[in-house]
Amino acid sequence: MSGGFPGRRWLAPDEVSWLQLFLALFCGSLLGWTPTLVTLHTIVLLLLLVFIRVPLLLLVITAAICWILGAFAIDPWIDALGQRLLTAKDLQGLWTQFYNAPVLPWTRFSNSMVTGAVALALACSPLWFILSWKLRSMVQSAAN
Amino acid sequence: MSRYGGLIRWKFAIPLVGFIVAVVVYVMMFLDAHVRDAVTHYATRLNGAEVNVGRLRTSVFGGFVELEKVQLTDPEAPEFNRLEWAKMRFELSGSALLRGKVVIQDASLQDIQIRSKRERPGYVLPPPPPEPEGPGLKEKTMVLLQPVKQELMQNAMAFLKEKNLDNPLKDVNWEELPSTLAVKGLQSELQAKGASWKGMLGSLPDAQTFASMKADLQKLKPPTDPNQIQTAIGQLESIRAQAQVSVMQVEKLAQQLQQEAATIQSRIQNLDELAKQDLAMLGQKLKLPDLDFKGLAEELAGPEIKRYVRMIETYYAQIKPFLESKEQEAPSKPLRRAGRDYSFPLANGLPSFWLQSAQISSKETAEGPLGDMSGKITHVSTQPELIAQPTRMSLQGGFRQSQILSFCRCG
Repeated sequence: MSGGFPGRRWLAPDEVSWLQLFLALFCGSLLGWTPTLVTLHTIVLLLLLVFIRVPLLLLVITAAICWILGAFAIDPWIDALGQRLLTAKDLQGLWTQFYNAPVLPWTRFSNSMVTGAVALALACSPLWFILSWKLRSMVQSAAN
Repeated sequence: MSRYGGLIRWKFAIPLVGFIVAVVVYVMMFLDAHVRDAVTHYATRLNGAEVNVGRLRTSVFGGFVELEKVQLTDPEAPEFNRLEWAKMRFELSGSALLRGKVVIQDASLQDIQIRSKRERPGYVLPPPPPEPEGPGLKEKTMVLLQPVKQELMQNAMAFLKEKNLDNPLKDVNWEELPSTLAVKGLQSELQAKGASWKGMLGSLPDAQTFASMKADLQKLKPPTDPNQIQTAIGQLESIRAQAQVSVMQVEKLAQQLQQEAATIQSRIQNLDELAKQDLAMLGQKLKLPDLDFKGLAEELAGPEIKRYVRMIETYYAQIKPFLESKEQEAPSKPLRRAGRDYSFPLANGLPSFWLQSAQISSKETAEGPLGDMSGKITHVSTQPELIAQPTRMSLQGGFRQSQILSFCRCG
């Protein structure tokens, strides 16, 4: 018997783990907030999603919501966050190492929107953790 | 084991490993041969005649491509190559590429030959059907020659000005030219004819004459008395004779005017011929040499230019479909921000672009225009301060056929 809310099984199937829910929310937000898919980490992420089993509908909905949110509301904040991080004096050594290291430049971390989007997705991790934990509890109680 | 399944989709692992192994085997064993076949096929189509690639080597991890003994058959003379080179190598630094930099370690093209003799004649592809629309070879040649023509005219005018010959026609008596004389004669004749035509037109019966004839006709009544019939017939005959005389007068004048108009028209057409006589006369006065410039130009540059235009046309026809861009709508404003790019270069890091070495050399052939040349350029970079190496260029060689045995230019 399906409990919780209509279509809950599509978003969070029975016996899905909280880690799978967390990864769907985290990857969805990262893909949605990053303005372009032509970066190494997004391509790797998309390839990884072939091998990692996560609720794809939840991931797609999260990505769509984050993309719309970025396009119409929070893009200036993402950009400002990225610029603040990339120009922070304490981080200049780290960015210089990244910039001259192999592979990492292909992630386009030196772009303010990309860095801002990754930082925001990481900053929202506790929120995704709580949300996935709650969702998992809801699934368990509904299953019982 | 949960019904939904674990985090990793293990069932994809075996196909993935299989796929990776297949790709590696393909790259190691078949890639070079397939790329060589593809290059030969498409280059032959592009060239319009057989293209041979002696050897092709690629290395994914070494980051290089090498083509050896490449021969492009000349479609107009299949026993010769249009172009041939012994070795072409292009090597990129893999570690720089991983850092997002383009470092070309070696870009060389060795022993280029033009019009070299082939071991056996190459096959020539049948020519493509001609395109109906667009300018033809002649028009394109004209377009190509237009700047040359303009430059020649400018040089000629500058030379004449320098020799105070910029107005060489100032001593010409224009009144003596055959066309001027003919036009003047025609004008005076037309004036005389005009007066004569006026007199002839004045002698013609006017509208009043025809009106009176009409009135006389209307006055005639059918006779009621048989005795008056003879009188009426006489009157009718008199009016008819009068009208016939008038009509004949008009017809005769019209015929005469037509003849004279035809004569004048033929004399006006004759003015074209007289203009040529004018040019000949002016040429004699200016002492111009009697040169057939068109023939001379075609003799000197025509075949060579036409050959290259035809070659360019062949290549252009092949790549035209790729160059034609489809109509694209104007890009709308992107919904997402592009962000700002920062750079964090190291003092001794790599520049964004660095051409470490590029070499080119050619070999002289009996038919071709090239000599035994060799050129090299090193350390071209977008940020020279990072590589701390000066850009060097050298060129040396000779043209034995032109008795230039050797020269060297280094810098």
